[in-house]
Amino acid sequence: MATMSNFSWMNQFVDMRKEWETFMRRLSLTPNVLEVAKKVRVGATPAEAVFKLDKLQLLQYKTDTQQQFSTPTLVVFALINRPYILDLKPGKSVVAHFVNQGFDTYNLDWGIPTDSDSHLGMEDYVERYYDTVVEKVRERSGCDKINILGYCMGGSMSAMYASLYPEKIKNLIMLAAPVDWSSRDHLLAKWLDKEYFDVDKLIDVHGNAPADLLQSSFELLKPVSNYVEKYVKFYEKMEDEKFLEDFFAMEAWLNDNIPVAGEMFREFVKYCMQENRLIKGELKIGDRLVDLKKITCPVLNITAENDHLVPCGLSRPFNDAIGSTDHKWVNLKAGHIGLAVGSRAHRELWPEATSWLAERSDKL
Amino acid sequence: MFGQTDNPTDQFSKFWSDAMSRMAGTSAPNPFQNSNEDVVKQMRQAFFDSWAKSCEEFMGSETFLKAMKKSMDDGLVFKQQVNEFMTKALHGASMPSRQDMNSVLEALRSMESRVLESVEEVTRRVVAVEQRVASVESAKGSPSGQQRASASGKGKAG
Repeated sequence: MATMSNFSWMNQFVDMRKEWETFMRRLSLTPNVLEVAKKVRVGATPAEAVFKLDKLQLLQYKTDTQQQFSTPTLVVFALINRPYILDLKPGKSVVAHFVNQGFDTYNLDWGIPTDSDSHLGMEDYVERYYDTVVEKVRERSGCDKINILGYCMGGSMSAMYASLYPEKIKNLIMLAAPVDWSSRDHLLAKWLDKEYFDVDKLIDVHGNAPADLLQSSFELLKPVSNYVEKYVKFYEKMEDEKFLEDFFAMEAWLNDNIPVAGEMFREFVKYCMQENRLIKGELKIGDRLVDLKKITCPVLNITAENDHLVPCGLSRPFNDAIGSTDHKWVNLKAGHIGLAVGSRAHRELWPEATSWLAERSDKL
Repeated sequence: MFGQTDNPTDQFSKFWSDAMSRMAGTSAPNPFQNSNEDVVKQMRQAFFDSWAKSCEEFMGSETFLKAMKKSMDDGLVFKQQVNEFMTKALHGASMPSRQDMNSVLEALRSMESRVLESVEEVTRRVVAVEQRVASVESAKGSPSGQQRASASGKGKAG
């Protein structure tokens, strides 16, 4: 019964006083918090832009680590948000895993589209930009085939590219990449349903898909977590400098939203998300049909168990749709962004993924 | 929850009863072994979970989807009107509008594609010429080619 005293009124007052003291202590830390926020830097691995075309640039990561593999690895991020999430900060860098393993690693930064890019469609991005970049990587490395790591929408685009140009791909890693939108029971699919979302009208009026609309939509998918819990956690951990650094680095990325080129957004939403043409084998890029069965290279398909943006069901069918016999599916207990920055991902997933790739790449 | 009834009172009371039952359940296993702070945190988390669940249900409901569509349609109509007004205002002040800029860009793109097509055509022709030259040269290099070349040389000289 002694522990019953925990609930006595006196203890309630003691707790309240403690809470007040904590609040005042944390309040006094505000200048320190602002200092950490000001100092926050994103990007962990030094990189050099080795090729530029219109808005896009190809980054090559520089490292002291001895290169072990002749097959280069190209990281392809989505057109939404910036690609540095895969190299956010030391200890939270996916790129660093590849670089440290001895891969010549490149990152495709699509750049920030302006009004003048609103006409760019899937054909421009996949046939022209993507292929030009792959050609550049092949030329620089002297290899006929390269490794590709596609994240989210960048993964979907990589699947399209790999089926159009299978002869240029050595290995393909799909990271939370949606390919099958037949399931309509998750929130984003409901919002993007033809009946409720007129993508033509949006693009006709705005030109590009506006960055703020995209950001608020993504945040609204988990409103309590993004608008309430995040700040409660911030308040509770604001005395932890490491937490603050991570928090502000993530915030810097989350708020660094960019618009998506209008035609590309229109085609992706309409043909892929609403009509599900990619997995059905009905998607055409230019006058070429995208046939996933033509993908015969080894494939590692990584999904996140708690992904609210790209639930597993959107990515998992990829392995059954391709022509490859060497394919593997890994499902990690993490969220969509957790795959890139989560500690579990860096402890368990990325060492495994780089080993998988190392086994299938050409050594120097 | 939200798809089945449109009555906001029912929805509200269902959310609260769900939240309360979750919160009450948090300290149930052994309430006296936990400190006040732990219990409060668990209750808070249970409340957030319940809140998140009801938000997700609401945002997937027909009511929300219809409201979202209406607000987006209205927003787009307004934006369209602003665009048209701006176009007129800029034209009135003899300044280029976004439409004009897009027309210029379209003209540029069309020029670019015509130039690229021409370059490709020229490249094709150059490659064809190079191939012809190469085949002639290789023919000259081979014994039969040399014979042909010397014969043609003689013919010319003759």
